[in-house]
Amino acid sequence: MVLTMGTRVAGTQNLGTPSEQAQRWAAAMVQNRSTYSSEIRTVYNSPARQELAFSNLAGATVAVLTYEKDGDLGWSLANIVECAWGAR
Amino acid sequence: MKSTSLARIYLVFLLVVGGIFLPHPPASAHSPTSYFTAGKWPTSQVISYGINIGFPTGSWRSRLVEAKDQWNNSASTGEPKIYWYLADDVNHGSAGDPCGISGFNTAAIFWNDLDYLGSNWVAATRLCPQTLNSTIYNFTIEFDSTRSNWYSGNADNPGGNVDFWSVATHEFGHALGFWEHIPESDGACPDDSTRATMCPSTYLGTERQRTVSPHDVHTFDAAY
Repeated sequence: MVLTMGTRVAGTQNLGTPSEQAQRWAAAMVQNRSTYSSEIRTVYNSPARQELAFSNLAGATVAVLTYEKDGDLGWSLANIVECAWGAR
Repeated sequence: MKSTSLARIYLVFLLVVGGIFLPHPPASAHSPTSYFTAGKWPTSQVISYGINIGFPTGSWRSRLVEAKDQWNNSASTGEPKIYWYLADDVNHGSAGDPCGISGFNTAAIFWNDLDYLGSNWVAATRLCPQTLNSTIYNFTIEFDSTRSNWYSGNADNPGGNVDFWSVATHEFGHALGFWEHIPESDGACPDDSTRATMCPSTYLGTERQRTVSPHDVHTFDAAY
């Protein structure tokens, strides 16, 4: 299991919907992890928070990306939980 | 009226006014279970890191040392500490996979393009716990190599720059298990010099998160 947490610059705008941003992340990941499916599932959706899940080719969930809305500054990736890959 | 009576009335007045209008001291710590959700290091763990090939030299590495020392210097008995023990300027593996870096407790610091995580991201920390809220095995920290407005000095941060020291102290907090950010709406995260280290974002042109705030220390102590 790998957990990712990021730090952002306050007051700066991030472009793109959560889905668009998640696709960018997945495209970067595929270079290292060829088992990702391109399909994104929305597992939680509220005006302030969205959680998007990726599966592997066998259909098992391998990553959940959480996006939070920061007022007029758009959606930002808040954290990532990845599982079912890696040495442990 | 006697002066002693006047003094008593004045004292009561002070107590009433003080009780109503003076600010109450802030809570010394938030619940550690709210923030240490990823897991914790073993008791008294000496956590070792190295610097990956490509990471800038000089002041950047000095700030890393000062950042981890903020936590080490405030650590109590039994709490984990971070040391720069591993080899530098070698390939430590993939920052995206701290579980894949060979061995246990072989952490590494990277200088990578983080645009795929979001254009407003300045750094990312990854942890490798066995399961959620269990023992942490390893960490990686990435700093955004594409950002042109880093400030790696230790003087006042010139306006418009991201203070590398502040961000590094914040990321080492995540690496130590302080995983969740303090909510931006929390009283510990004002836009002023009292802003806690583990608030979710950094303000341009400030250096206010270089040191570990009392709030962060109390929460860390409560967790370990």
